[in-house]
Amino acid sequence: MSEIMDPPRCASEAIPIDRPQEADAQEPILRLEGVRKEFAKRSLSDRLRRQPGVRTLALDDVSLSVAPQEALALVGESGSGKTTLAHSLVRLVEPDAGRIELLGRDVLKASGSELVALRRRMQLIYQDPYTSLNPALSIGRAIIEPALVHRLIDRSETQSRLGELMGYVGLSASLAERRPRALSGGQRQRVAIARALAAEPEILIADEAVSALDVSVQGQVIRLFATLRRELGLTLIFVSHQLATVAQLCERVAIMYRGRLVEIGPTREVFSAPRHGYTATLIAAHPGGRRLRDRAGGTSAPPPPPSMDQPGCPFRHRCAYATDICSTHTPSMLSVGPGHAASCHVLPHADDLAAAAGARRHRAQTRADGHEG
Amino acid sequence: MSVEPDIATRPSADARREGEDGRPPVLSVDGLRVEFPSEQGLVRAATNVRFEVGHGRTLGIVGESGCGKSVTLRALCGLVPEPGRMVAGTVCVEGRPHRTAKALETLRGRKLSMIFQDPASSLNPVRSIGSQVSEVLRVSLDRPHAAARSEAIELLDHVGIPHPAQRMSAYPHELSGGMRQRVMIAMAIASRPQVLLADEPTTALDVTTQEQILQLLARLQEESGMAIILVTHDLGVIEEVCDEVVVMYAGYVVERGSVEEITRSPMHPYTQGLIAAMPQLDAAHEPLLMHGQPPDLSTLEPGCPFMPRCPKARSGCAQIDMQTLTTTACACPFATERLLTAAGGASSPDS
Repeated sequence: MSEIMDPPRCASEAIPIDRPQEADAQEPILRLEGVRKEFAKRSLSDRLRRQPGVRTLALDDVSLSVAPQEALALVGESGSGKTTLAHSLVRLVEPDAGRIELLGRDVLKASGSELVALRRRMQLIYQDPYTSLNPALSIGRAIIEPALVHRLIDRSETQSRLGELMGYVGLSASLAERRPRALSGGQRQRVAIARALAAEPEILIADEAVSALDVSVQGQVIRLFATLRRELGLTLIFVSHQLATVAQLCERVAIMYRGRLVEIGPTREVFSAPRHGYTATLIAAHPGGRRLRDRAGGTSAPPPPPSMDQPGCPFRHRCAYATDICSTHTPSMLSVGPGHAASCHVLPHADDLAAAAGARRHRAQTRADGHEG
Repeated sequence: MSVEPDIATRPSADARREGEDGRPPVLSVDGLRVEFPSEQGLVRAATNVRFEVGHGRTLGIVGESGCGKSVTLRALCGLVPEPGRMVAGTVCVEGRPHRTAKALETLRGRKLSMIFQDPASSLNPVRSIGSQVSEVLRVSLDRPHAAARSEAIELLDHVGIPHPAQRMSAYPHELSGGMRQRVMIAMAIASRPQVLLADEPTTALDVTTQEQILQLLARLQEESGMAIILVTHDLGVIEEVCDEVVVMYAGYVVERGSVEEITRSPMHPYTQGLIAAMPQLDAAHEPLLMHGQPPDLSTLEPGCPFMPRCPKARSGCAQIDMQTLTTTACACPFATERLLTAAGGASSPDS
């Protein structure tokens, strides 16, 4: 592994690291080590022909840790494994290998009441508030249910706790008797958040929780997340494909591609000077600022991804920076700065990135000035 | 940045009846009104909508959910969903006026084609994409069977689907979201339409796929000179691909102009709010919060519909006549005055 990590023009410290943020001395609330999940799809014709079917590596050796009260974003395209990772934290998906620790306790080994207790502390919020709420339950009932199930409150406290929870998320108590269909998308997402808070979690896992909302409502819900984090001391794991939302809410970002963590670091640094070809591609594709017609780039679809058993960087076929080494050696995580690491053979050593990113920031700035002028 | 203080001089707002090449617009809408009866009362989904788009130009329609942008687009090709009805309006396509949904329906698949947000639910899941693309060619363009098949392969190739001949027998579920949208685009351009109506065509896609699809549309437009009307809630997309923009709110067009005017010097407080609320990649940029929600269209009060959410609302706002203002560059009569008095007051921070 290490013999491929010392190209001569290496400018950064070429030391392999597993958990770049561990320097922060703070004990992580959540720690993942080598989490792996493989999905096998075997169609009827595969089974009739006794063929093995298609294997997909949804999570490939994912290691990271989350500090208490931080907001970490998981970013990637569909199929990158970000949702699988979020779901495996609460074992909606059972990883094949690896270790997930919540405050030192092994989530993957827990069972029975211990698992219920661990799950209570990590609450998931889903993308679509139209399908994640039971249409037959009044929203008051939906919100308070987790508190009753986990016996966090006495039946007599139901009303006062409900009022408190609805207050947290900015919902008027008069809505408690309504059904979800009477609410707007933004209000429903607030209900989903209140319901998650009812379980008194330490960690909120928001899976594309604002993607389905209008930009104005998105802004409101994002502010709500920020406020809750501050006031209730929550840790936030924010799964999203919207880079701009991530920039607004999360101080740290983990970029995933085809089940692998390819870059992790402070959001500001990762977005202004990406150190992985995939991150750079995502940032370049972010809409806004440039006229599409002025931009170079083909319109054909990306080539098919390499099969999971081939060596080399999984992104090399789409990467603008790919060199020979990228198809022969699989890169491993390299530290490129404090708390910032990327698994790339090329970009950690490039110098011109900051300039390119600076130009982009300048454009964004010009635009912002224009709006206010 | 300096802003032209006089609304009437916004050059692009009213000058699109004749395109830059001197040709009349390929599509123009005037006085479009779409209504939905409901238990709560009549929902006016689109009121007095007017805009034009020239040959080879891209018009963006932007607004929040429920602002009437999708219903306006659907009305253009006679696809207003039941029980809604297009109750008034004229849609001119290549100078020929059409006044009813029925008349517009005959243009669909010929002069006008439409693509939708979700290609997964617009394609038939139990038929191969080849048979669906060839069907368009056989039914709409009367191509014989064999010719339709070879033309379908060409179309799939043209929209960037690799190995089109092999893909003809693939079913929609075997394709990725971006590939399915390419198939929808292939079907839409089969008849060489004058205008492509695109309803949130990239909203369900990843950013990288979105970029590819937008680039594909730009290339097809350049080759064929078709006009595109793009409905989206994403101002970033608008900024990348559109020439002109109309901003809709509560069924009204509240502002119109070139993409530069709308994104750099918006005049209507709603447009200003939308732009200020847009998050940016730069973490130091703090988007401003837009309070409240769009109004219930069945109980809309007279006057400006944005007034309850407007940071600059004043007493006169309840009296303004939206019907006439929505055909101007900006439906806020106080925008001119404000621009004259405070050049830097486009967006005041609110908590």
